[in-house]
Amino acid sequence: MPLTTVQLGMQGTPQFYGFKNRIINGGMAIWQRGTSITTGGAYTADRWNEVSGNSNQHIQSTDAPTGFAYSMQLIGVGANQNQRIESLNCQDLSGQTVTVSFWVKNTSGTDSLIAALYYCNSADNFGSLTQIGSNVTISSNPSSTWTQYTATFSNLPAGAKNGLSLYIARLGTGSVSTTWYLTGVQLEVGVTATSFDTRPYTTELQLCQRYYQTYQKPEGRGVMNGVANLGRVGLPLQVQMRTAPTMNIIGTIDWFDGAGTGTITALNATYTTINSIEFDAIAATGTTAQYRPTVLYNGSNTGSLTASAEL
Amino acid sequence: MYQQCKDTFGNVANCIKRLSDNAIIPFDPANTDYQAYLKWIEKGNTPEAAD
Repeated sequence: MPLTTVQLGMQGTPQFYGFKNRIINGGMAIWQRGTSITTGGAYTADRWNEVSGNSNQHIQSTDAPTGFAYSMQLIGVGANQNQRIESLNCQDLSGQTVTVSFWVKNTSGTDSLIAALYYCNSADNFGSLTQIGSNVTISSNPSSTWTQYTATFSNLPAGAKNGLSLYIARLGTGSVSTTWYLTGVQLEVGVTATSFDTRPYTTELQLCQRYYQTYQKPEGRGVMNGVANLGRVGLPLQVQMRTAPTMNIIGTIDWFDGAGTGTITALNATYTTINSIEFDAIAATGTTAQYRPTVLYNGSNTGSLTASAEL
Repeated sequence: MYQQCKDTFGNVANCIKRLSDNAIIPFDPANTDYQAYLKWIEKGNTPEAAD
């Protein structure tokens, strides 16, 4: 095929090629926090959070349209999902028209399906937002079979480069529970929805890890401080994070100092950068009287270290 | 509610513990958990002293 023919095929189609989708984990494949989460105001699947204030369920499901492995099943009143898009990924969007597309299947309830788009009033400040236009009612009664819905937002304001917040929700009387599925979410430049930007799983995971990482049985290396505590343990981050991350332990993690073993269940202090994490911790079990090197080893406990740099 | 953190030498560290989930938040201006902590301070609150 002559090169001129290929070029003609791309004309008039902004970002026809890779990374056209500004949404991360639009295919609902990455769930580092767990695959069944009940919340009304926290993260669910990676990069997605619920903002209804209700205690709704969010479950990774294999019920998905052709071309997708997963969807998110949402159960509850006013269940919604929101994704914050970092300013660094919005620099070219001011003045542009963007199209949002996603697949939905409704199995219970008749609330309307709506989409809304907001921009930050200053860079990455998602506590101060301005809505672009008004809520777009996608459907007053979403289909019970997988259906792709779209919404277009024209001529984005200058503030769009400060970061965008996409909101997809069921809105009705405010008291009716709905059960529905969501996947294939894409936000792209242009007036029409194009095919979903399928990225390699590893790439999608790394995009998520800029904002949140979890390490089950983390391979930390460090020293005991001579009074049975882990004086300092460090390990590199898997992907450079957006900011120095907030850290936590979920469950129990094993340590070994060459003579004895023990566990930790909480952190004392952390020393984090965008590239590495270090921490001090009091041993929950186990003792040592020596200034020994220590490792977090692959023991019977399955606890995790988490690092969050969410927007 | 928040609590100060101490390092292994007993010095106050440059991070703060969020008592609702025991997460440790670094003093990084771009960290949104730290921003929430600063708003809490602006309201006149004071973190608990380290253990």
